Amino acid sequence: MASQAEPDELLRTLYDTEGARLYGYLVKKAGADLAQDIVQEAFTRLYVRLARAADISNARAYLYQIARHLLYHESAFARRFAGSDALLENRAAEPLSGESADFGERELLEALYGAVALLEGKDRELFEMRWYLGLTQVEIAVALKKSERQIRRDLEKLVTRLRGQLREQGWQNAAEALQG
Amino acid sequence: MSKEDLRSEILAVIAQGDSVVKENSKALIAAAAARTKILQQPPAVVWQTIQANIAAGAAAPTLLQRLKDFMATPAAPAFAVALVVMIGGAFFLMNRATTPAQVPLVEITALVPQKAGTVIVARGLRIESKTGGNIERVSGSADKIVLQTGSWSVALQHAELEKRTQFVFPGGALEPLGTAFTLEISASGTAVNLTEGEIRLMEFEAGRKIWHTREVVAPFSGTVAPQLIERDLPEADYAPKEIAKPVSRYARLAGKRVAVELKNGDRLSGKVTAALPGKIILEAAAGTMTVRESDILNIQVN
Repeated sequence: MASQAEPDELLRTLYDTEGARLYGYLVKKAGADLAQDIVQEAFTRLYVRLARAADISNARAYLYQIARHLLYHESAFARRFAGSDALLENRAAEPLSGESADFGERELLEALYGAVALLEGKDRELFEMRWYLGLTQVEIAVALKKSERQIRRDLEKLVTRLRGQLREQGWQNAAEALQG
Repeated sequence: MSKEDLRSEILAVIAQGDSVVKENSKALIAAAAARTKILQQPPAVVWQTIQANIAAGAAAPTLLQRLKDFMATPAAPAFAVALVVMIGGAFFLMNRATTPAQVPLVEITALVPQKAGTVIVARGLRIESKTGGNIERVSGSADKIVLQTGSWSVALQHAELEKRTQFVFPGGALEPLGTAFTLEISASGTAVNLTEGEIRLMEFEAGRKIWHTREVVAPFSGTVAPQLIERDLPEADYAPKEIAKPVSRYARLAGKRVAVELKNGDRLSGKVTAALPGKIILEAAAGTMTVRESDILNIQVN
C-alpha cells in the first residue's frame, strides 16, 4: 500500500476513512483530550514511516498499532485507566437494526457485553478490535505485533470464553427471551 | 432467525470476521451498528496539527531512528565489536592506572598478605609489592621486616629512617645502609638486586646455624639459597657515634681578663681560668670563684 501511493495522499485517505473511527474509539477509551493527542501523534508517526519508504504493507493496521502503543504505553491513560475499560463504561446499548431491534435481541447483546466486561483486558481488547473497529485477523496481528496464527488461536479462545460466560451469566436468560 | 443461529453468527463474526456471515445477517447488522455508534469526527484542528507537525519536521528522522538506520548497515557489527573492544580496553586501562594502595608500615603488625601494587610506606622507606606476597613486621630495637613470599622493590633513605630496619627473607637477611634494592622470593632462593647504595647482607647457613655477613655496594646481584626464615639476626659491630661534648658558650674567653655583670647586679673582674659546660671559673682579686652561666648577664673582655 505504501509503495503504491504518495505518503501525503495515503495519509489523507487513511485519515478520511479511519480518522473518525480511531478518534471515536479513543474518545470512548480515554476521553477527548487524550484521543486528540493520540490521533495527531499516530498519524504523524505513520507519515514518518511512510515518508521514509518503510515497508508498510498494511498502513491501516500499522496506524492502529501506533495508536494502541501510544494509548497503553506512552500516554497518561495507562496510568489513569490501568485496569479499567472506559469503552464498556461509556457504551450505550446499540440496537441491532435501529427501530426494528426487538427486546430479545437487545437483551442478547446486553448479555454479550456483560460477558465481555468479565473478560481480561487482553481479551477485551481483542473483542474491541474485532467488534468495534472491524479489523481483520491480519490487521489485528499487525496491530498487536503477533503472528496471524497466534491471533487466530486467541480469537478462538475468546469465543470459547464468551460462550462460557454467556452460558453462565446471561446467555440463558437472553436465549429464553429470544424464544419468547 | 433462531436464537441458536444468531448466537452462532455473532460468535463467528468475532472469531473469523465479517465475511463468514451473510450481508444481511443480524449479527453483522449488530456489529455495524456498534461500529457506527463509535464513529466520531475528530475536530478540524487535529488534521491541521498533523500537517503542522509534518511541516515542522516531525517527519525528520529522530536520533533513535538514525541510530537504528546506522545499526541496520552491514558495517554495524564491526562497529559494535570495535565499540566493545574500546570500552573493554578503557576499562582494563583504567583498572591498571589506578593509584596503588598505600599502607603505613606501622599498621603491619602481623603476617599480612599484600596485593600486587601495594605500597608500604614509612618515613624514609617505600616497599612496593610487585607480585603480591606476605609481609610481616617485628618491632624491636630494630624493625625487622619479614618478607616471606613475593617480589618486592624497596627504596629507602637511611638517614631518614626512624630506627634501624632489617629485611628478613628465606635464607638470609639484609640491612640497608642507605640504598634501593629489590627482593624476589622464589622456590629457588631469594634474588637480591642492589641498585643503589650499600647493604649488609647476611646469609644463614642452616646446617651449622651460623650467619655469613658481608657488606656489598651497588651494583650487586645475588641469590640467597632457599631456607627457612631465621629471625634472630647477628648484631653488627656498631661503632658508637661520637657524642659531641657540650661546650661552654664562653669557651672563647678562656685565659682572658673579663668583667662579668651578674643578674643580681654584682660585677666581678678577673681572669677566666676555665670555661666549663654551664659555668666558668674566674680568678679574681678575692680568690677563685665559680660563676654559673645562668647567673651571668653580660661579659666584657678587658
